[in-house]
Amino acid sequence: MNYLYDFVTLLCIYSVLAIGLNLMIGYTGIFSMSHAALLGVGAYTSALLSMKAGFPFLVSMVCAVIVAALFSAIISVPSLRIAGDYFIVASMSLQIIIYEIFVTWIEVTNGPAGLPGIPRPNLFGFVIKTPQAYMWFSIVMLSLVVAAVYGIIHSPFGRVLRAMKEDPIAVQSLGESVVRAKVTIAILSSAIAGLAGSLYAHKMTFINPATFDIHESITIASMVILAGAGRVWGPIIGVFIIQAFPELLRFLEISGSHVGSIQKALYGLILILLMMFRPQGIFGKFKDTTLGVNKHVAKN
Amino acid sequence: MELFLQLMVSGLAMGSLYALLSMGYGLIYGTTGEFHVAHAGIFTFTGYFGYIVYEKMNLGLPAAILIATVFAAIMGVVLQSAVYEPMRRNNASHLSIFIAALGLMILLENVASILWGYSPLQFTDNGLKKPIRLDLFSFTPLQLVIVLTAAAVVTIVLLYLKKSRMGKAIRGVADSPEMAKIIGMSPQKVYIAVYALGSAISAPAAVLLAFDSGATPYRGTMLILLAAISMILGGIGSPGGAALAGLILGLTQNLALLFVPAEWANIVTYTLFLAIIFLIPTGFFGVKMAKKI
Amino acid sequence: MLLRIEHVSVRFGGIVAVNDSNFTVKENEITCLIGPNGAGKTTLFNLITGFLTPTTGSIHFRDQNITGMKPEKIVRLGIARTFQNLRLFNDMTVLENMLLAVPGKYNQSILRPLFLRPRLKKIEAGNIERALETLEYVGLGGKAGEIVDNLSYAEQKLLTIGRLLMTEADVLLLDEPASGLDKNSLDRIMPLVQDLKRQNKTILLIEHNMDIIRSIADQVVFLNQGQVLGVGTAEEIMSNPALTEIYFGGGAHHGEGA
Repeated sequence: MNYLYDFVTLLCIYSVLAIGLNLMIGYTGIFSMSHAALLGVGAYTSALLSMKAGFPFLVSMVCAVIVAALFSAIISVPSLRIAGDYFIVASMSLQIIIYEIFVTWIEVTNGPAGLPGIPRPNLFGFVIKTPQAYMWFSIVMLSLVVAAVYGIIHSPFGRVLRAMKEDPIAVQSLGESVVRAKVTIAILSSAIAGLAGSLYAHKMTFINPATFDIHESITIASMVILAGAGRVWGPIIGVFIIQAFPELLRFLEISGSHVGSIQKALYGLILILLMMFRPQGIFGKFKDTTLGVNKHVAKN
Repeated sequence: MELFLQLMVSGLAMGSLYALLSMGYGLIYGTTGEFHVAHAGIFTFTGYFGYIVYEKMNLGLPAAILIATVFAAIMGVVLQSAVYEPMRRNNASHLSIFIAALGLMILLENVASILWGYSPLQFTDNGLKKPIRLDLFSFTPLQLVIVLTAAAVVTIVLLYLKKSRMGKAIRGVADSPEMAKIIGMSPQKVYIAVYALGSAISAPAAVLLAFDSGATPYRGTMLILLAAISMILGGIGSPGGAALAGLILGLTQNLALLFVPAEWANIVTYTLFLAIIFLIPTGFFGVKMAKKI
Repeated sequence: MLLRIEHVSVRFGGIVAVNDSNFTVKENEITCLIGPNGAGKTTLFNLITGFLTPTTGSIHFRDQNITGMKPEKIVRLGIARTFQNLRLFNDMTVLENMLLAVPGKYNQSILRPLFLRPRLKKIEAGNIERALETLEYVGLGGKAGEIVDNLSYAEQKLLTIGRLLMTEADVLLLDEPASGLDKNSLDRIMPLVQDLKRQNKTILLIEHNMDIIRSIADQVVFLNQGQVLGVGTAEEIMSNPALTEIYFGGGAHHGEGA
């Protein structure tokens, strides 16, 4: 049973991350290669503040969110002024820089050996320690994130995003800054990644750099691309499919040292086939959602 | 002083390899606007092609380089025709093509590791890696071969792009696809030529690098970011700029070791790069900038 | 002088698209930009609205130098434009298109939709009311819920003007509002353009149709090969033989624009 609780917990945590990344890739068309690193920033920040500075859990979590957002802002603000391809390269660089810092700055992060002994969340006296409790906690957090993203998408800002996807020049000609919208989304998306990182660290109680490397960034991006932008909660399905995938491979009894490579090779193949035959993913494009304002028209 | 010179030597060699990698990658991106990261996969496979020709067919290094180059060109054309061309016909966005390229890169790197394993496949060294000691520094014949090969390839390609009909068409398409039609060449032909040429340019570097440290499945992936960085630093739309930037990057990476412990070298290099492109987005020789919003 | 274009030139590679152009636009007047195809009229629009930066020269709006400013900033200062190819959001409804043009401090807010939602809804309701009124005014009453793709070409053109009005800009740049319209549609659009003047708007429009120009233009600016060759009333410009030669002689289109 614990196995199931853990599976669902991780599903929720990665869904938070994926929903955040979907804001960038699915809704705004900005491809980020640094989300695993940002997850790591959230994880290490929250872990270190709880362990070394004695901060209460909620404060550590908030700090994780802020620090992740700051790291992203360093590259978003300059590079989104230029063009999407610059952002890809900048985010790849950021991913590598952050990962290398995790590995090299041993005094703080303990390097490849990792950071054990991360405390459980203590919410006003109640300590979340059982797998079941943590599962409910993550479900609640995921629901809050889904509600928040839903609220943002169904707002004037969401409308601007949708228009930007169709014709950014027209958006500018109506007085809205496209760069500002992109930067806002990038920072929001990274803040959410920081939140996921905090949840991850206090769940696993042990973190090490390997979880936050570039291959993980690509996997998370695959989950998002698979799901598409049509539904705010769509990425949950993308995460589920890709989390469940290794279990499936176990059934097929592919043995030995090549399992990892076969799995990754198949991820690559999925991306290729998706892009060739259904680039909008399972849930379709952003434009397929309506934004609710049209209900007012029925009155007239 | 000796250390400085020694690092210059290794920097020159490494830089020459980066130059070829960046030039090939940059040519493709500059002409097509497609962020073809699968170039990394082709680079990796080319290393293995070289290994097979050299070790299994026993044909010597020059033959290995030549044959591997042909294979690389073919592979580039096959991949772009099988994956990108149908997408182009469906009006796929550049973002979609990038993601497909990413998928290709992942597929290729992992197929390579399934076929040939993780451990580097070493070429038999017949003396090319034996250092020749001079007064102040030493170098290996291999390093000399690398630098000379790179210089030759860069020169030939730049001449080709400037003088030949296809070269002009390639430069024309970089400005606008309609241009190719005006010259009388179909854009599809130009795409094929660009992918063939781009893959071929980086091929000698792949073989020589594999000769130096063995053929591995992840080599291309580790270096592709460097290639993208060089391309931007050198200026998008300038293959010569990309080559030069690759050379400078290689030198910088090595010379940084004078000031900074090895573990921090990567961090320093990438942070420096980020700072530079934010200050000079067009790169040093940038003719075109990537599309503004 | 509301809008001053001074010695503006713009160069692309070897081509000089606009060459040392000078003219002014007076407040509450209708100025028409005319000239053969390729004369640089749309390029001038792009320069004025910030989509292009001049290589030399400057542009002043209400004595403020707006040269090189970003398009979205210029719109907020009070200059808005339409496009020859409309650039409507075809997958969205008429109402959504209108709402996207509203100058709102909270258009890009992510905190308000989360924490001050009722307040935001109130503002939105106000905007919707204004949008519906404006749609009525331009002649699209009842079409608010329609997907733009389903509108007729004439209705789409009316929507582009409706969107402009939502921006609250005082200076409206219309790029060939009459092109592609039949007589009935022209009768819907042209009175609207004239009425805008009565609403205290200043209008700069690119037009080919000489009848229209004669009937509504306070000032005509004649452009050819990127240069301003003449500024004056419609009569003055049209009675200048050199200019009419260029306009009607060199294969230019006249009458119903295409």
